[in-house]
Amino acid sequence: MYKRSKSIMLVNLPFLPIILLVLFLFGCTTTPNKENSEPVDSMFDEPVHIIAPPVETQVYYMKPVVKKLLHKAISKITEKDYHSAVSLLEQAIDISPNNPYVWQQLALVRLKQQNYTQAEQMAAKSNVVGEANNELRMKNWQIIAEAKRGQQKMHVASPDNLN
Amino acid sequence: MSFFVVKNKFARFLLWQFFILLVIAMLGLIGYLYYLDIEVREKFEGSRWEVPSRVFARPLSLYEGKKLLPSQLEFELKLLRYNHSKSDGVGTYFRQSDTLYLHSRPFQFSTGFVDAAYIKISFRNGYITQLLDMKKNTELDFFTVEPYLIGGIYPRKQEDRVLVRIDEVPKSLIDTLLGVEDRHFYTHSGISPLSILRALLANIQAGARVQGGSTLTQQLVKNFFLSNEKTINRKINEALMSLLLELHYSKDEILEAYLNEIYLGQNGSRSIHGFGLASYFYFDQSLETLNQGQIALLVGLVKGASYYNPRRHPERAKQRRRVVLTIQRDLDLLPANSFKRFDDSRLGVKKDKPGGISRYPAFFDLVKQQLRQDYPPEDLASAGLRLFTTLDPLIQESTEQSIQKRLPQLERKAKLKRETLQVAAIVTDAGSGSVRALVGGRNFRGHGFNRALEASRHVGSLIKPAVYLTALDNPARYKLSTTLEDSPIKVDQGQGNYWKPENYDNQYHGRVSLISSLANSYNVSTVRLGMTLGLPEVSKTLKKLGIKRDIPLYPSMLLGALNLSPIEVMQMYQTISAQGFQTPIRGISSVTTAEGDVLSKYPISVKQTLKPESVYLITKALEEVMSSGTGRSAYNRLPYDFVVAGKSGTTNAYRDSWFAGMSGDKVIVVWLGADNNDPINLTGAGGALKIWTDVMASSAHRSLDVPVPERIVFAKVSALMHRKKREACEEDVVLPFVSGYLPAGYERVICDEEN
Repeated sequence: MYKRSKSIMLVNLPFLPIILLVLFLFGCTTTPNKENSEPVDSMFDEPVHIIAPPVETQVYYMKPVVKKLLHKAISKITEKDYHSAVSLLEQAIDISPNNPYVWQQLALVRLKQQNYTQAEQMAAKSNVVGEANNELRMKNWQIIAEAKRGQQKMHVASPDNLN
Repeated sequence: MSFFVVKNKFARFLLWQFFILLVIAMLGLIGYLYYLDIEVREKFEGSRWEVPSRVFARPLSLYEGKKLLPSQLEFELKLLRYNHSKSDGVGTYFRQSDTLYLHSRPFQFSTGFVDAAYIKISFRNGYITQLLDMKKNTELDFFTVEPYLIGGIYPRKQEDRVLVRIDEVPKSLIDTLLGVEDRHFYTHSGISPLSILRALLANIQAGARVQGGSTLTQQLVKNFFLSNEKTINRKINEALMSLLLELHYSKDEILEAYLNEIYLGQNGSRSIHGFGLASYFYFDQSLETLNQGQIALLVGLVKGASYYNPRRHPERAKQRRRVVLTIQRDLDLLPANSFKRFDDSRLGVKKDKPGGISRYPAFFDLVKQQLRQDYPPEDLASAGLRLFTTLDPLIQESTEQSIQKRLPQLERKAKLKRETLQVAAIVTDAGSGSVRALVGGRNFRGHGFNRALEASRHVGSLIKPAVYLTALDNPARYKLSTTLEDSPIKVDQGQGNYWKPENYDNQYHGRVSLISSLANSYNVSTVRLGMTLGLPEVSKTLKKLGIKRDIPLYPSMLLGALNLSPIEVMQMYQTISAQGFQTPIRGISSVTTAEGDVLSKYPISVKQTLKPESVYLITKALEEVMSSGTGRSAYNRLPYDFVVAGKSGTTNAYRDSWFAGMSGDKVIVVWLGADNNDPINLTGAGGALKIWTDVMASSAHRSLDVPVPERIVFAKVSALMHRKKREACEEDVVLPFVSGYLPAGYERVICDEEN
């Protein structure tokens, strides 16, 4: 029972690529992430080694169909056909539930539709599923900031606040 | 002279009197006609405009790289009543092992109209490898097959209906109907004195009522008022109303109303109106697929649906069909040489009456429930809306198949009487919360108690993730490696009552790590943890997971003495699968008008209620449940490298058997139990998990690969969760932690102590 559990923990899917990536990074780079490369806790008899810091993924793998759906959706957004765009993006989500770029586009549509709460939430979702992708994240923060401004504007404009 | 004058005067008086009376009578008649007119028009408009909403399943999308078997596509096409044929007509397909040629039908999707197409679909090893547009000879990225019509909502009469437009009705049916019931329909003005006379003569000759002289219009009027009284008043009213109807409406409008209104059978308290519905009711087929014999039988029923009821009186029905077939032959609607073949053929009526028009009544309940929140019943009844739902017939059918196979096996295993075990199952998409399958009981086609939505049962250990999530949400204090005490505990319930929870194996396991306590579903350590955290805190977590009902704050709640329905459990696990973003379970994706304009959308919506790090940790623990804990038998069936996360639930005295969990693309909840709450002698792992695993194996395509939140780091720690094993301490285990909250030194010491 133990052997099996360990093998899953150590070798199985979620960790293997990360471990390989880290080995690769440790092998090639001289300036790995500072926080994570040092032994962390001096209270330990033996230091606990951090195995895999979240590493910025250079290329985000996307299924070809998801890529195509995303491109189609983006062109629908420029045509202001938001219903079709959302429908395409939702199909993409059913194929790849954790694709951060799809969630980001959904957030963008909601922003354009002035559905600020959902815009903010979906950009946050994109951030969470996007792991450490700085470019993606930057754009999400822009969406969130704009959504917050929109929410404030709506708040100011609401009749309760006009007196 | 004077006499004449007087007489004249009197006559004039009488004449005047008569004239006045005549005017009054005329006024009265006009008033009465006016009243009748309003009444009959109201009925007609009512029937005409009360177009039920049509409810569609999800459209099947095809693309290169999609996991789909040719046989699955074939199944979907058969549902859509495509014919397997080499001819190149719209609505046909042809399959040659791994290649399928499809002549699709045009369809008004919620996103727009898509014309008929001719597509070649190539498969290899269970995946689509190519889509080719045969007309343009170009490769296609994507193709969407029209969705399966799963039924109609007709709220006024509380029943499903299949409404047909006149251009959807086979011409041979209309010709047969007119040939049998009203040959001069297109020329008379509502009533046909000639027909009445002819009928009268025929009846006198036969000495009994053998022929009716009513036109279709009169029959329709009669049907509106559903009265069988044969008074002369009623007859006159019918005739007047028929004339009025003909004044207002065209022949085709009247015929269409007739085709949809006429009474053709009875199913318990529910009457079967219209040919569209009758076709399903008797043959389980759509109207346009009927052959001449079936058409003859249906048209024959117009004369008396209960007298000629083909299920109860097959001989009478057969005779009546012969009469209609003869008329068909005489009117050249049927080649003379086919007559005998149809006359000799069996009636072909399906033995089981379908419960409703929908093949999936349990899912239908969900749709109705969600619609009620947005549309008043009148709108749904009258507007002829098109509802696009999320149901995936392929997943629904494979879920049903698994249940059908497993229930008798489990009943034997648990030594239960046959057919005592009840079931509910829900499958959703992980990202969107779209319901792909929903089973409300073991009778899939029947209406009735929908256990997936309405059964309220103790959830047992399914609740534990909420307890552990509450702990992990405080990373300074709790980590996956934190040790918990699994030793006897007495919980003070007030008034001198003490509760002593025990483990399922009746043993205590001493000091166990948090992750293995959850993986092995230990009760005692969970209760101790929950009491330390506080019941209100656990209850708050349940709310964040999406539970809306009030949660009683009893300590036994920590072990699942809390009633939830399967759909509520689904919401809870959906939130975990969505990284702590509450994603409402949805059965509808959009609603359009009959013309295709989008009225409202039911888009994905998300709301972050839990920290992604905490949810990540709990998901890792739930993966451990599957790899080494109570769910591990799932891997007897699932591929070893296919990661899933889940939790079993068993309640007191084995009354409920639950399993809930997720892959990378699906969330599945299965419940088993007895309606009278008798013990079923099955644990969550021994019962519900079997079905859960089947459904996972057939519907899920993505291994679970939870995105790693920014603040998660991985660390090697001693294998303290397996501290009983000596070798555990010799090797290290990798666990995720929230960065900045790495385990403190004492955790290593435990392992060293043992050594």
